[in-house]
Amino acid sequence: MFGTNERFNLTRATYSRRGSHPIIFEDFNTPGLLRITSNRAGDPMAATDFLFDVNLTVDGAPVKYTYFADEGSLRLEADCDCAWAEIAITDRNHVRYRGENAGLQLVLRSATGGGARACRGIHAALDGSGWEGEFGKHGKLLVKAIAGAALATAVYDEEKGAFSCVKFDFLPDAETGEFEAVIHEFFGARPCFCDDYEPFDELVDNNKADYAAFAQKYADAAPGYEGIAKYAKWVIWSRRSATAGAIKEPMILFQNDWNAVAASWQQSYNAMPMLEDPKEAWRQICTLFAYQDERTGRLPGMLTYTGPNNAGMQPPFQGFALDFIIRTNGEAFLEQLTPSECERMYPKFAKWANFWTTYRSAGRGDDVTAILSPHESGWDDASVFKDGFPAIDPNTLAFLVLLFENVARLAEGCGKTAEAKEWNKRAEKLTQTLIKEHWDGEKFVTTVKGKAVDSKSLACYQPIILGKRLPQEIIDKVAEKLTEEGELLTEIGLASESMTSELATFGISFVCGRVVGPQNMILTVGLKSAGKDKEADLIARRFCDHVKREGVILGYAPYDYYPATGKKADQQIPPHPADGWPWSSWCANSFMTMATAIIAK
Amino acid sequence: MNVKPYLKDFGFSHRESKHMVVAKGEKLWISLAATGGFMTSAGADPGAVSAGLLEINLFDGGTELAYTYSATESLIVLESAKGAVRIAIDAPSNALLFEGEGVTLQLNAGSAGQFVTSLKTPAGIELSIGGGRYLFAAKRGSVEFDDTWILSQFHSVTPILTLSPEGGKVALVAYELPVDTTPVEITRTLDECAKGNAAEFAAFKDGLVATPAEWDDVRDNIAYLLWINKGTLLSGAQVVLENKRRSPDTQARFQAIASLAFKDADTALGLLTALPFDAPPVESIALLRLIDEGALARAHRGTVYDLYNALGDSARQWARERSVTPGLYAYAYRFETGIKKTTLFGAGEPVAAPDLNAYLLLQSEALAKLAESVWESGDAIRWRESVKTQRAALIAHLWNGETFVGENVRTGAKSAPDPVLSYMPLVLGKRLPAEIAEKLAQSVDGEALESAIGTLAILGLKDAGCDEAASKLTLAALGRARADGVDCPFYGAALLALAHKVL
Repeated sequence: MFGTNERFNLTRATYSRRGSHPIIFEDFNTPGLLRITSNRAGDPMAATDFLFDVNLTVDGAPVKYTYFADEGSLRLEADCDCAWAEIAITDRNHVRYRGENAGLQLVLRSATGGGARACRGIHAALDGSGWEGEFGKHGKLLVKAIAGAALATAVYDEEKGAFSCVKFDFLPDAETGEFEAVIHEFFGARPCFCDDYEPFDELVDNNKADYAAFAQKYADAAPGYEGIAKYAKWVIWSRRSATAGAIKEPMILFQNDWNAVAASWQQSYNAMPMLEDPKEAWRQICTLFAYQDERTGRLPGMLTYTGPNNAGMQPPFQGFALDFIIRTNGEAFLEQLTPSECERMYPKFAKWANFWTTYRSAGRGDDVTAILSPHESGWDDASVFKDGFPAIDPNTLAFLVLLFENVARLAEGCGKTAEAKEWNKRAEKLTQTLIKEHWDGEKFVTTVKGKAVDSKSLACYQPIILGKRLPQEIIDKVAEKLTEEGELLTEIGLASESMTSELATFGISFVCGRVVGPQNMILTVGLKSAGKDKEADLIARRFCDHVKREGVILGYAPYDYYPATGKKADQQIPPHPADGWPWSSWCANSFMTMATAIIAK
Repeated sequence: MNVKPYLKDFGFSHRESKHMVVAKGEKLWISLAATGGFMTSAGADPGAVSAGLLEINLFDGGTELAYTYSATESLIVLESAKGAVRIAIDAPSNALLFEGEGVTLQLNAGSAGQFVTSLKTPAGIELSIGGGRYLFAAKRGSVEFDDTWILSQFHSVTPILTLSPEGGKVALVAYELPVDTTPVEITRTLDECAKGNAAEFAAFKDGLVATPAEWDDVRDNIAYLLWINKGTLLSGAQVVLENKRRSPDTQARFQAIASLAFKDADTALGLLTALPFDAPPVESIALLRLIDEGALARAHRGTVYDLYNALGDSARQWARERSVTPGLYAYAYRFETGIKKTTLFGAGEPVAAPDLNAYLLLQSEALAKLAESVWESGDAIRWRESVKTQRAALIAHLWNGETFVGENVRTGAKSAPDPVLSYMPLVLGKRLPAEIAEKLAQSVDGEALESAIGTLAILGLKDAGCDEAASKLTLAALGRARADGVDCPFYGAALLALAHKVL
């Protein structure tokens, strides 16, 4: 799947495995060098001290290598002497290593020039079980040889009061030329590590089987997209968290590179394409409710292994996800909403919906809300927010309509018919308010202090997610605007800001110009729900075709110049390391939704 | 008391509040206690660093005024040529109160204000700092504040709040609240808050172990550090932080040392059991104090059982992972000693260290006493046997006739003595042979022991019957604390315990 000589390598994608913490990637600034770290402590890859160079060694000296990685393992091969090594990550807090005619060396080298300072000590365990290293917030490692030898080098600089060199070497047996080793990660007291490791080949097969089973959760991709769909599913699978620390059940992490966060609304994004596993889809949608603020109903914006972030918040996306899943996979999914399940989740969903209308009330006495920061809309730098806050954002209102409807569904499911009626009434009323007050004849408008914000953002068309709840003339207008070449529609999908806008930027920006997967998914799902299948298909294909070409990356600069001004863009195509756009599960789940449910089969 | 010397490093605060006022150069800044780093919607949480968030400036019209300031444990007063501003904390309302006369008050985030989202609301001005709701409500005066959002930078313009006087006066309240919480009405005046806080501090001081009156100034300084640096863990357990301005994190060993300063057994026990026991295992020193004072006899049975089990787990882990020779235990990592630099690792690790083995001997004794109190007589006998074995191993392996040294448990190589850790077996008091205690008493460098951990050895000198040496070192330590100040609450706690016991 990934490799030195493959279409995609590990410079933008990172290699990991479901239910584990280790991450392997190719150093962008030192081509050919793999590095391994862990996402457990939540440090960004570019700033962590807990980072090891992976050297393939022959006769103890590092040699150049190429690599190939798939869902089973990652293999390194030297240019000479049939020397190779292989790394397989498990979901049981250890990584297995093996090799032949070669050794493997892991050298601790901070991402920020801090050398080996992550290490607080290494010693040979007194019970002879291996080498134990202590790495502070990153935990401990137990390094042991299964065949051949495992050595640790740790040089302490008394002056600096820190380790200046820390490395582990796996050396082949002199007779067989082979080595096999394992590194366990743990915190606190050393667990009992039993020695009966499964054969390496069996581990690799098990990893592949695990991925294959996970991939069954998805419907087939449209013809022509099967190959890239495998990558997308792999990205989601490999970002599926361990159950550790504050993460009490598996969630899908956004990406490995900046920090390992489970973003609240992204769990629902991940649920959407899991059309072949409605039970899992429902579980995904419900995950963050375990951290709901009992008093207010607020869901935390993000969760990491170290805890939830209750200060930030993300949009009420769950209704949109449920609306899509039920429309696409109705009967099978609705079986998940048993009376007891509805009884369990109705109060939580209701509280979440009422959080918005209480704590983000626009103060009008109805359900219209006003958001206090762009992050609450999900679109951190959309130009609809250029006039500041509080802002009445039609996208949030549209999400709330769909949330109310699904809260009504849950109420109905547990026999609360009167309450269900009330929720539906609120949904209908809010829909009418949205249409009456936020549609200006051409687009939906955000208002600040009663005044419409003048904007050419893609966000102006997102309420299309209401589908046929909108009048046909609005649907037709939105479809027309979204397929007008050179405005929002580019060759690679919908840009987040019109190409005729002087605010469009491909620099340090998220949704003020770039073509980003989630927005393309939302808009195409909306168009399809409104009966605009052709338009949805057109846009989805453009974006998905680009993903096929460039990889499962969250967003792309559509041009190397700004069409509105003719000026050269400050980010070049293809994306380069400084722009911080790695492969992410957020693009992967958006791609999968489009490839399996929007693009015609 | 005058807390001005502490404003730079520790700040002005209240033990139940996250609000802080800190000194940076000539100016004061308002700040919040560190909450632990996390990516908020505004980027990395500035509260995690807490270097000072908003600079306090005074103006006369458009002219900035120089000011001087005074600070007690309950009140800060800024004075300029044109007027003054007073600051106090109303902890129950999570509020920092400002009242001024004759000046315009400005709070300016400067470069600390990058990545902040700000919002002018009817309730006041909100800043996305600290992970909660940081809200500034003007009570008197007219507010100027620009909350323009900079689209391309994902944050608002630098927050600068200017409060111009109304009728010559200004009044401002800064709230630090959980998210989505409405601020409560402030019912006390600033002066009432200051008076109340002073009384709370006085009551807190009374809860510390008694020390001679001639050292009240040192006691006051230590009490201030212990008072403001209160932390609350996720479990609800209350702890003492090293510096709440810098970090909400702490370790079990420091809580054990801090517990020695408190008269009340419940408070001491709460600190001791707030966190799982870690290295170095000094908890038994504090635990034996409580046992010998009869405190555990009055404790709930469940508490004693939990303590017994937790201590037993710790003992078993040390035995499982760090012992080869019966009764002898080793450190694997330098940081486990609790001090920054040590010579004990000179012969390589794992090292059987004299301090560790002394602590674990006391651990066995504590376990024996706890076992007796929960009627586990068989265990009690085994733990008492272990005490004997450990004592013998300590002396046989680590005493070289003159001092204690470390021993590499693999090679048997000895390390050079350490100016602190070689003396830590003094914590054994009368359990040490008298001649060993005497030898250590003669060679000890008291100044080297002036740290949270080192002070435990001086406490031990008293227990060992070396009264003169103990007194001399205690008075010297107190004298240095008076001259140079105390910069660590845990050292302060140990020093109070020392003054209480020895003097």
